[in-house]
Amino acid sequence: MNSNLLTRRDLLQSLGSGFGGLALTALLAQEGLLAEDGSQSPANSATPARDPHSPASSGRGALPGIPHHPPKAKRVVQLFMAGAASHLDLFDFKPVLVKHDGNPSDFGEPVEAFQNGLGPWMKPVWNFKPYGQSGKLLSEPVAALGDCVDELAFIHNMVGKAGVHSTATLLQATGFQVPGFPGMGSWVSYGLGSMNENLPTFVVLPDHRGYASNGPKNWDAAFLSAEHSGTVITPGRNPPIADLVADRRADFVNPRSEQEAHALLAKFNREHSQARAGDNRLEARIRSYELAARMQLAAPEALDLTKESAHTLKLYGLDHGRERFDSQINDLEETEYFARKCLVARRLLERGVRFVQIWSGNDNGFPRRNWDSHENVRQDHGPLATGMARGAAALIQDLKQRGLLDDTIVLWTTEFGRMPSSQGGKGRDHNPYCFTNWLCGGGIKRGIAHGPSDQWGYKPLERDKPTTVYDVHATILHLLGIDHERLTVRHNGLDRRLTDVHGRVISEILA
Amino acid sequence: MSNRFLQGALTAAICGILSLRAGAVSAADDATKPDFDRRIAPLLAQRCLECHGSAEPKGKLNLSAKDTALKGGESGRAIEPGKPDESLLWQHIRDDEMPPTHPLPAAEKALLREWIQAGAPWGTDPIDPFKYTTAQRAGYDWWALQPLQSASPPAVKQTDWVRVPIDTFVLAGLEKRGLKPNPEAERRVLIRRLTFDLLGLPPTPEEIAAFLADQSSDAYEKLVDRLLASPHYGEHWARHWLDVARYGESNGFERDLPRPNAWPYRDWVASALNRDMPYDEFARWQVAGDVLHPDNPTALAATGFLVAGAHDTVLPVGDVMKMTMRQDELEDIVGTVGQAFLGITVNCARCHDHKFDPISQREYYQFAAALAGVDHGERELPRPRHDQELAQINTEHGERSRELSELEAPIRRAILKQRRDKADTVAAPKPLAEWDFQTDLKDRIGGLHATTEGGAKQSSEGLQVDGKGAFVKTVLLERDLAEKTLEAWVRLANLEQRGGGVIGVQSRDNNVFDAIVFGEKEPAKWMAGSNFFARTQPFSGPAEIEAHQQAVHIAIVYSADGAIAAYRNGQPYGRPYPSKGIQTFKRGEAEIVFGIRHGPPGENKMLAGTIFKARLYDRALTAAEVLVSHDIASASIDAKEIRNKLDTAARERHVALTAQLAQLTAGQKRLNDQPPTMIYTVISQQTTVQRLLKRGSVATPGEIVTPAGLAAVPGIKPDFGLSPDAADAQRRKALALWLTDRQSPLFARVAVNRIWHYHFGAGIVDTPNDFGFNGGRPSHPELLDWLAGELWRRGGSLKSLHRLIVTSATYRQSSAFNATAAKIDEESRLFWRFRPQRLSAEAVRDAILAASGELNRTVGGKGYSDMNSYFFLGTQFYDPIDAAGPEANRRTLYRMWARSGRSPWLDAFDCPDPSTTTPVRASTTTPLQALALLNNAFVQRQSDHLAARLERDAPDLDARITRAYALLFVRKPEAEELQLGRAFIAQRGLSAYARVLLNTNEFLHVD
Repeated sequence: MNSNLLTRRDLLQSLGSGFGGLALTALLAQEGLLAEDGSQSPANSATPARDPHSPASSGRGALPGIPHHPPKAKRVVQLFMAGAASHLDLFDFKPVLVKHDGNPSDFGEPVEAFQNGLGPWMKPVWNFKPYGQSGKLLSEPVAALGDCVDELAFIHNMVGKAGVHSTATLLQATGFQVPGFPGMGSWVSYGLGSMNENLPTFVVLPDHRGYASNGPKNWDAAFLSAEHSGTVITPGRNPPIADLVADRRADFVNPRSEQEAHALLAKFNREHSQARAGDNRLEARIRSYELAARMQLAAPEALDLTKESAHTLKLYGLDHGRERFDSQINDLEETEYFARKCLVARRLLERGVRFVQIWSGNDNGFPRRNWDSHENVRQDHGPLATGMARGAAALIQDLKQRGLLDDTIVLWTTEFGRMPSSQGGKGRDHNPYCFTNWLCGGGIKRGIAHGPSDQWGYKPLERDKPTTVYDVHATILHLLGIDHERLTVRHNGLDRRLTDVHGRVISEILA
Repeated sequence: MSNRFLQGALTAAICGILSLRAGAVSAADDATKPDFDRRIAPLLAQRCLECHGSAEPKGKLNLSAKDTALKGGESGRAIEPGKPDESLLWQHIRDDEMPPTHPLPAAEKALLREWIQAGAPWGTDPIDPFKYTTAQRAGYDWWALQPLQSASPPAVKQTDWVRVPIDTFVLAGLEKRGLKPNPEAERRVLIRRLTFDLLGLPPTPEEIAAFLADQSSDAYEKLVDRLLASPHYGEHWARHWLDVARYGESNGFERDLPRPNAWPYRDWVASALNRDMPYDEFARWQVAGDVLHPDNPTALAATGFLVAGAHDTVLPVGDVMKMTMRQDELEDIVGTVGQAFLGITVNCARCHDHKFDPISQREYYQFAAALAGVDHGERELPRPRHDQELAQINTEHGERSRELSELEAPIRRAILKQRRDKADTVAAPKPLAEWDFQTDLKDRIGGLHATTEGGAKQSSEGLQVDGKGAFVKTVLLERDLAEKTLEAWVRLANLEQRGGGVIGVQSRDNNVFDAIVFGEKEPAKWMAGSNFFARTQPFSGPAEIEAHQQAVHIAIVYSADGAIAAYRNGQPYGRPYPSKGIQTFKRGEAEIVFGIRHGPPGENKMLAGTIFKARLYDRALTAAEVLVSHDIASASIDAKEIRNKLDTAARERHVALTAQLAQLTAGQKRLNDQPPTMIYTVISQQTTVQRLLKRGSVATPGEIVTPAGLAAVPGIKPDFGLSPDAADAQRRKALALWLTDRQSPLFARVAVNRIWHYHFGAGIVDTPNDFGFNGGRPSHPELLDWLAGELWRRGGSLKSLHRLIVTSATYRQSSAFNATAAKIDEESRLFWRFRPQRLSAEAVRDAILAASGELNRTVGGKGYSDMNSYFFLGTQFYDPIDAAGPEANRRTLYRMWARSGRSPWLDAFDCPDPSTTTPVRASTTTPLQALALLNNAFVQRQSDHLAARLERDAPDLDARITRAYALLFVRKPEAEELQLGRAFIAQRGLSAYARVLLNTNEFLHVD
C-alpha cells in the first residue's frame, strides 16, 4: 500500500468530524483498503440514536401519535412471487383434484377465465406430505419450509380483484389496482420512520432478471414524497445502489480530492445557510450529505456476505460452490438467487432497515422466469419454489436463532392464485378468486391455517368471508402498532390510506 | 361584513360549532329549533337514504320526501309528529335496530328525537342533502361554489409599498396581523428568481450584466416582457401543466408500450402558452379540440390531454373485467378533467354520492357520459394540401380513364364477341353469385348483396378500398359452401402492399376463411389465404408487375379433394397443390368479403386498390371454364391487342392517354406513399347509452344517464340538452363549453390559483386540484376572486396575468428571514417575504446544462431518451442508461416520459410519477438526492464541461472563479471565496471545483 493513503485513524477522525469521510471512506472500503486495518467495520460501530426532532428528513422518527398502541413487531419482510404462484401446487392441498384429475371441470357457475384455462381438473403436480407438529401438508418443492412450518400462519381464502398481472401486483403491493399509490413499505416508512441513519428505511431487492410487472411503481412513494420510496439494492452489482459512489469515468475524483471537496462544500453550505436563518431545509440538506456518507460506508458492509459463517451459508443453501449454472432453469440457481437475497435481507434487518421487499420472478419473458405458469407448472414452479422455500426457511430460522423473529413479520404473497382446472394440459390459468398468503413472526399465531378455500381451491369456502389484501395490510400495520384507519394522508381531496376504505385486522391469526 | 366568502366560512364555522355542541353535550341544550335543511336532512341523507331513498326503498319506506316519510312503509306510519316514542322511526333508532350495522351516535339520535318532538317540521322537499354545508361536508353554499365577488382592493396604511392591486390585498392581510412586508430584493436576486420562475433556466452572465446596467425606471418590466417572449417560457410552464395532465409517453401497466407520437401534445401545450392562447380556449381545445376544430391539426394534438394518462392494453377474456377496466380508465379521465379545470374531485362520486362535496353519484355518471366516447389511440394529422392534390390527380385520372375506355369500347366489344364465338366449345360456367361493382353492390344472381364498411367507395370506377379500414361484406350465405371458386377483376393501388384480400369467404366470427390474398407470405405474389395458413401453400407463380397499372383477373379454385389451383388472366398461376382438405362454410354462419383478408379490419389485412367485378361459384371450375369466364367478361384485354385494331390517330391518342395515365398513377403513388403524421390522441368512439353503476360496479347497472355537468357549479346550467345516445362530438363539445364558461367561478379561480402556486411555491388555496371540503381554504379569498375576475378582464391572457403577478411588490420582496414574522406566519402564507424555493428536478438538470454550456436549446419536436428500451414478448422494457451528447442535452421537458422508465436521478429530486395528476410537487431532501448530485455520471460529465467552459471564457484563475459565480449564483465571489477556490483548484483541478459548486445549496435554491 502506498503512503498516500490515509490511515484508518485519519479516516475515522474525519468521519467523526462530519464531512471529510464522505465518499472517500466508501471508496476505500470498496477497494478493500480498509481490510488490513482491523475487522471492525465503521458502519457497525454505534448506530446513532434516532432524534425525533431532527429536521433532516431521513432518520426521522415516527409520526406524532404513532404507535397508536403497543407494537408487536417493528420490521417486515415481504416475499413477493411475481406472476402468481399456484396455491394448489404448493400450500393448499385438494384431494378432490387428485380424485377427479383429468375429468372435465365443472365449477357449477360461469367462470371468467383470463385466458382459456378451463380444461379438465388437474391434480397438484407434486405430492404433499405433512410437516411439523401442525401436520401442515406441503408439496415437494417447498418441503424446506417443513422445518419451520410450525411458525407459519397460512391464509387460504385470499381473494383479489382482477386476474391481470399489473393491476393485481399493484393491488397486493400498494392496496390499489391503479398506479399512483404508495407501496406498503412506503406507508410503514412514513408512519414509523427510520431505525437507522446509515441505510434506507424501505429496501427493495428485485429479482436479478429484472423488475416484476409495473416495475418501480410497486414500491413508489407516490404522494408520500421521495424519501419513503423503496430503495432498490442489487447485491453483487457495482454500485449496489444507484450513484452510491462516483462514476468511475470521472478522473478528477480520487480519495484525497473527495475529502477536500466535501470539506469545501460543507463550508460553502454552512456560510450560505448562516446567512439564511430559519430555513431548516438548508440544514437538512447539509445533513443529507452526512447521511449519504454513512450510507456509502454502510451499504457495502451490509451486503458483504464474506463474513457469514459456513454454517449460515449452508443454511441458506449458498454452499454450492458453483459460479456457473445450467442454461435451463434449475433448483441450484434459483436457490442461489433467492436465498442470497434472503440472507442480505437478514443483514439489512439487523442493521435497522425496517421494511425489505424481496421479489421472485420478473415480468413475463420466455423462457419463463416467473410464476405465471400458463404452460407448465412443473417446469417453472419447481425450481422457483425450491429456491424460494430454501431461502425463506433459512431466513425464518436465521431470524429466530438471532432473536429477531419475535419482532419481525415475514409475509409471503403473490398477485393471485391459479385455477384448479388445467390450461393446455400442464399449465394453470389465473385465479383471482382464491389464493394463499402466509405470515410468521412478531405477533403472528404459530402453526395455523386460517380461512379455508373450497374443495377445488377455486374460491373461499365461505364466499362471503374472504380475506383481502386490505385485511393483511391492516393486520401488519396493527402488529406494527398502527391503526390502519388512522394512518392517512390528504391527497387529491381524500384522506388516503393503505387500506382504502376497507380492511379488518385478522384477529384469528394473531398470537 | 359584506364578503360572501367570509359569510360562507362563517356559516360553516357556525354549523361546526352547533354540531360540536350537539355532539359534546346534548341536543336539548341547543335552544334553536333544529333546522331541517341544515341538520336533519344531511343526517337522514347520510344515515338512512341509501336504503330508504326514492329508488326502491327498503320496506317501502321512503324518507327522502315529506309525504312518503310521514306516510311510512310496510310496517305502518314511521313518524308521529310531536310523539317520538310512538314513532316507529324513533323506536328503531333508539333500539339500535336502525341503521342496521352502524347505530347512530347519541348526539344524532337526540337530534332526531328532538326533531320529531318538535312536530317533524320539513324543509326542502324532497330532501336536498347538498343544500347546506355541515361540519362533515360541503353543500351548495360552499365558498368555492359562490359566484365571483368583485371586491375592490381594501384600504391599507403603507400605500407607498403598493405597486399593483395585488399588493393592496396582501398588505391588508399583513397589516391586520401587525406584519410588514420585506423590502424589495436585490436586482441580482430578482433576475435569478424571475428567470428560473418564467423560463426554468438561469440567466446568462450577459443578461445579468445588461439588467444590472439598465438604469431606466422600467428595467424590471422590460426584463419581464423579454422573458415572457422567450420560447423557453412555454417550455417551462408546459411542464407545470403536464404534471396536472398526468402526461406520460407510454401506456403504463403490464405492457407499457411506448407512445412515440404522444409528444405533439407536449409541444402543443408549450406552443399554446407561448402564443398566449386565452385560457378558456386553452382548456376547450384540450377537451374537445378535435371536434371544435376538426380540420386543424394542432387542435387534434391538444386533445391529447384526455388520453395523456395510463391505458391498460391487456384485455382479459371476461366481459366484466373488461368493462371494469374501461370504467377505471373513465374514472381517471373524469378525475383529471374535474380536478384540472374545476378543482373538484368528481371522481370520488363513482361508487356513491361524494362524501364531502355536493356531487351525486348520478352526476358522476352524467359527467362520465360526456367523456364516454373518449378512447386512446393514434390518429392521422389532417393534411388538407396533400388531400387536395390527391383529389385533383384522382379526378384527372378518372377523366383520362373514361376517355380511354370510350376510345377502347368498340374495339373491346368486337374482341369480346370474337372471344365468345371462339369459346362456344366450352359452356360459360354459371356462378352462384356475381357482383359488378362498377354498377352497384348487388348480387346479380342470388341474394348475397353487399354493403360497404369503413369508407369503401362504390362508383362507376369500381369498388375502391383504401388499405386502411375500407372493405365490403355481404349478407350471410343461404346455403353451405364447400367446393368453390373465387374470381375477381382487380387493380391494385400499389404492388408493395402486403396481405390484403380481394375476395374471401369467412365465418362470421372471423375465425375461418378462404380468400384471394396479395403479397402476404411473399411480396407481390398471389396466394390462397386461409386461417393460420391451414390451407395455404405457395403457388410459386410469378411476382406481379402490372396489376397496379391495369386490372387483372384472378381466380382460385378449391376442389373437393382439397386441391387448390390459381389462375391469372385465364392462365394457370404457378402450380396447384393439395391442401389438407376442403373447408366447408355453413349456411347462415358465413359471408363473402371484399378488400379484406378476414375480419375484423386492421393491421395488414386490408387491400388497397379497385375491384371491378367478382364471382363466386359453388363448385371447382376447370381450367377451360376459368379461361372462358375470363375471356367473356374480362376487363383485361391486352393494350397491344386493342391498339392493333385502332386507326393511326386513335392509336396515337391511345398511346398519349396511356402515358398520361401512367404519369397520373405515379403521382397518386407518390402522394399515397407519403406517410401521414400520426399523433397519440383521442379516438372518438361510437358512444352508447350510459348507465349509472350502483356501487360503481359494472355488474349492477342502474338508470340511464344523459351527459351533463355538475349542479354545484353556479351560474351555468348543468344540462347539456343532449339525448342519452348523443354522439361523442356533441358530448365533448357541450362539456368543453360548460367547463370553460366564463360565468363559472370555479374555472377562473382554479386557473389563477394554479398560476399563483407556481410563482410563489404555494397557492392562495394550497390544494390547487381540490377546492372542495377536503381542500385548503383560501388565504386571501378577495384576492383570489379579484385575480379570477382580472383573468377575464385581460381576455384570458396568462402572460398578462404572469406580468401582473411578477411585477407586484409582493413578488419582488426579498426572501430575508424575520423571526418575529415567522412566529406568526412561518410559511409566509401572508407573504411577509418571498418564500425561497428549491429548484424542481427539471430545473436542476437544465440549470446544470445551461451553466456547463452544453444545453441544447432546440425547441419542440420528438424528444430524447435516457432509456434503453426494448420490446420483448408483448411487453416494453425500459432500462436507464447514461445518455450523453447534444441530443440528450436538450431540456428535460423533452425526455421520453415512459411510465415504467422513470429516471432515478430526476425522481431523487421529486419528479412526479405521471400516473396521476400532480398539482403540487414535493420538495424533499434525502441522502439519495445527495448521492445523485455527487456521483451520477451526468453531473461529473457536466462538471468537466463547466470546467472547460470556464477555461474558455476566462483567462486566469480568479476570472474563472468569478465567471463560475456569475453562471451559478448570479453574484461575485467574496475575497475568501476566491482564495478558497484558488487553493482548491490548484490542488484538485477545475472539474472537481465545478462539481462542488453544482452541489451547493446556493445553486439549488432560489431566494
